[in-house]
Amino acid sequence: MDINIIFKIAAVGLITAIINQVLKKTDKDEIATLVTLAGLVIVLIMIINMISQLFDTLRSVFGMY
Amino acid sequence: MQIFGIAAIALITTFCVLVLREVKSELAAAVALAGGIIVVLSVIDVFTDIFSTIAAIAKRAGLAASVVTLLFKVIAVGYVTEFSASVMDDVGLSSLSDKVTLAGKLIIVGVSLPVVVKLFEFIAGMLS
Repeated sequence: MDINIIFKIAAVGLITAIINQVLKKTDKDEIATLVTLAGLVIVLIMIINMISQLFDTLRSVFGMY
Repeated sequence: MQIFGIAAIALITTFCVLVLREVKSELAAAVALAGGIIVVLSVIDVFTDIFSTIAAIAKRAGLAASVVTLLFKVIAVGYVTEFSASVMDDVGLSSLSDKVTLAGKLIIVGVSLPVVVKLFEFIAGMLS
């Protein structure tokens, strides 16, 4: 568990935001929303892996279930 | 010391969130959540040491094992509830975080009911 996950997510957020701006300027708004959705899905998959790891660790620490 | 690493991670996460908020990206909350998870996971082994010593002390003191596991379960539920409620407060969804907190409280009360019943029986036995 180290810092590059945060940089990865921040990079995805930044890139999707910039691509959004570019696409909006060339008035291709529907592609912009698709790019936002794609970025969101990628980040959500990463976050869900981290959350499941946290909850598994908590479960093992507290000996639940 | 561990605290320097944790403080560094938290500060870096804060600045990443600020940058993302500047660019109006919805992923700012995701970065904040990821930072929170990393900070907690880096402290988790201290948790394990503390809880194993508590369990050992409780066993030596002769406490019933069920009470100690119940205590751990309540702590775990309380922590998970607080963790998710604070993430929702960050984003501004206070209504959702109140509901999660309510659910957590109900689960804790539900889990700890048997002990309360045992306590009342014990008191009733003493009085009669």
